[in-house]
Amino acid sequence: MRMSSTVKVGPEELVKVRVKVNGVWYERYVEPRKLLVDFLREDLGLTSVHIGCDTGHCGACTVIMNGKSVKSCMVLAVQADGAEILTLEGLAKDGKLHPIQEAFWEKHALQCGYCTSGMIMETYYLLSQNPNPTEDEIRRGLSGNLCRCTGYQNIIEAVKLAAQKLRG
Amino acid sequence: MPRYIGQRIKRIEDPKVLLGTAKYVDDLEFPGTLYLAILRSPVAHARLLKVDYSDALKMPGVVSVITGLNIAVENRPRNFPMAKDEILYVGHPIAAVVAEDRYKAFDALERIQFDYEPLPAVVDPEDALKDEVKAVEGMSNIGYRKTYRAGNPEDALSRSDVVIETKLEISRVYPAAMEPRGLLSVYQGGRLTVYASTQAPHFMRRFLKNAFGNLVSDIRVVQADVGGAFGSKMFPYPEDYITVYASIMLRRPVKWVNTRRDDLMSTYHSRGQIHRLRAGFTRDGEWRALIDDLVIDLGAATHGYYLADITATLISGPYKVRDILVEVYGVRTNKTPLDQYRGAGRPEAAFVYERIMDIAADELGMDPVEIRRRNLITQLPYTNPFGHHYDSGNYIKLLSFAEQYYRDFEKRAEELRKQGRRVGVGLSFYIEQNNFGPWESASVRVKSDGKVLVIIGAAPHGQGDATAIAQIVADELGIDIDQVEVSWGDTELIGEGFGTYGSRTLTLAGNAALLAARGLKERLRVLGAQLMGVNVEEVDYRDGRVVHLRSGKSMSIQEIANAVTSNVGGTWGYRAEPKLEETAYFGLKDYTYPYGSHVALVEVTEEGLVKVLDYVAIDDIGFVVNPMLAEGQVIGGVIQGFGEVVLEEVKYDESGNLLTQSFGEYWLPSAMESFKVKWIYLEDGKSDAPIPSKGIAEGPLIGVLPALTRAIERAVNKRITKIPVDVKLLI
Ligand code: FES
Ligand code: FES
Repeated sequence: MRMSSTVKVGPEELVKVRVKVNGVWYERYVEPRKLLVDFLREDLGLTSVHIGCDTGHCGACTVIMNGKSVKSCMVLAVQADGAEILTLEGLAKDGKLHPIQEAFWEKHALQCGYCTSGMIMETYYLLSQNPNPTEDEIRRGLSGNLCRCTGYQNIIEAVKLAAQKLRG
Repeated sequence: MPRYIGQRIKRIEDPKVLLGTAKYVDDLEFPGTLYLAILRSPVAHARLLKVDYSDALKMPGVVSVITGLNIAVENRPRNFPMAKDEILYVGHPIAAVVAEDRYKAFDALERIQFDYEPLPAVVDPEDALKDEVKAVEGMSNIGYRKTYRAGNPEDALSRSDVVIETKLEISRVYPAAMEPRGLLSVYQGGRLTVYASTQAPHFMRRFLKNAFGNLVSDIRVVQADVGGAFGSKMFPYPEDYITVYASIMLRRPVKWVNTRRDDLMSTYHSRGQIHRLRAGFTRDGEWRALIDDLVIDLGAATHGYYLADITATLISGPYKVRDILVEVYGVRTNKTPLDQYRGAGRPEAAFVYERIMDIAADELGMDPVEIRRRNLITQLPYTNPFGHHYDSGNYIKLLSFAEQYYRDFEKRAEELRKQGRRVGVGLSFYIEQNNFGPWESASVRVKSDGKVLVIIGAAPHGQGDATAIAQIVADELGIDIDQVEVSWGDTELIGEGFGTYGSRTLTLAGNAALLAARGLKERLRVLGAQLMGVNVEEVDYRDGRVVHLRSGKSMSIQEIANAVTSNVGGTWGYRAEPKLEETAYFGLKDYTYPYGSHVALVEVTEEGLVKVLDYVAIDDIGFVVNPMLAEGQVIGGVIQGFGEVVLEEVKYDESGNLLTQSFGEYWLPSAMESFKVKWIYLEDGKSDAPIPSKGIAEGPLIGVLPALTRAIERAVNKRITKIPVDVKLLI
């Protein structure tokens, strides 16, 4: 018997969400109003996804959904049904840092680290679209991600270095 | 030869962040954690008549509602942490809901009704001075008053050739750490563990213990990973008390984390100063006198008054002027209380003395570098008119160094102006006061595997001090840096400590770690000698080994640690105490006073956008342990300062409504506005510490405000007396 995709539990109606996150399929029942960011953090325990504003301004919650970067505070969990999502937790392979992570380390592109997961995911998207961005393109690409600590200079240098590493 | 100090060593803090495994307070959960949300006042000033939360309590998942909680805390407003009878500002907590999850808590907030009778709000700080309408019923609006007088300023002013008269304004800003404030308070059998986004866990323990010491036997504060603070996560906040209170009453773990909107209205704002001043100069540019009325907009509480003291006592900056009168008026207004933000009073002072220098240069037809050279202090140490002891360095040398950049930028500006572009150059010279004390602690331990653990009482949160301190300890012990770990932020890890604020951590905790490492070496020597069965006078400590010179026998730290910690169940066969640990506390007898100069080349486009074309910051902060980290502080600080000069302002309307309630209205610099900053450091003026550093975290925000303001002023050719710069002046 197939379970229906909505169930009644108490007063709230829960909706089934199936998502593939960092290579693993998850199935959960969630409130329809639940934000993707809260779903990733609370239901899946992926706390690299940060909340810096919940109004779409800061980019701390950036993840990759179906190959595109999204601000997960601007998406409902139910809208992600069937989607493939990548968060920072899924970037390193076999304990080895991804070239973007390496570049952020080498260039001192983080201080408090709160923006870092979003910055790295946005960089991941940017470089997937444009493997050799100019400085202007990097600035524009990261313009939706706020960092209060670094002044961006080292982040931009890290993106350049990551691009170089990824091009091999 | 040191292998690590002085080098650009990659941060040991980074891997856990890069892997997404850092744990900020909202990432921590205990089974059964409840979530607390706060109903905040939407009005600036009112009499609170009644709060009805019966409907909220009926909502599923709601565990409790708290109203009217009042705790007496020094310098906090009446009605702290919650409004009980009078609402004092937009954001003032009225009620708190504790529920099973945050969605339910926020749902319940909407079911709380409260009746209030509006009162007129005091918004403009200069109106507040008149004291006609009261910001807090029954209290004078003048919450703080002080006179700073040195020499004979009236006489010196009357004998000046030229008197500059102006009003300068430094608007209210919001620190805007990317992680909002938050707390998780865990109650366990009469004891409390508080996980907090704080920059001073030991200090937090003290203030929470003062309030709740009669309800719990002890409080342990653990600093979670902290997503930036910039001064804003140190002093007591209403939500700290409300959350802790809820967890004690409910005997459950309770978590509260600000939304950004709540953070914008509740995290203490900063700056908020107005100066009405007269500055007297001789015809040849000597600054002779200053008379200044300083109004600081304290908001609904007076705890930020000390910021005006810092500004007033440093108002002469690095200059020789000694006839000064500053009248400080700290006023209550119906706004979020004011407190420290990166720089804490020194950026305000630098804005004032450097504006004075530039305006005087214009009035006297002098070169901005020359007028500074004419007035800079040339003999150090120097006691300024209000008792600050400027310690060491060479101001003239640093100015001459900066001048080369200034002249070069001027040449480039000239070229660009010929193409019809609006370009200007600004130079600032600033002095800082660092190492707010009194002291800091560090323990250095060898663990059974020979690894060295350093624990510091300070509480860094992004600055990278752990790396710098690992460099110091690795060099002192002559071991590889990857053998050193640094830990902090838990009041039970180390006896006492203060925290990370006031550009103090590396100098105070770093030197404490150095002294502890020295003590540890001595312990290793004694133990090593005993374990080898040789005379302690005949052994040396060299690069991680205790060496017996005559026989050539030696033991490594690891071998000693292993020998001491093995033989479980056996007897203790050597006489030396097997203690592989040393703790040291370190303080300086006075503050340190680094100084520097910033030079900016700025274009203002036709659309009125401010573009920084080139920027150089030159600092003398004493000895630099890790230039990469120091440079990181400077670059970040300069961009923050750009925000303060061009974008950032907390805005209220005439009725005290807060207009900046999201990042849509409160604009932070993004990668689009940011620019390249070049940093140069001289190491002329050392501190008295064994590692003679002075601190850098706040310096950039002090140097940047006047430099950028001047550059913009020159680009648009209109005098600027307020930051952020009015957009009307840019177009
Ligand atoms: S939390 Fe999503 S953009 Fe800020
Ligand atoms: S590193 Fe702190 S916000 Fe970017």
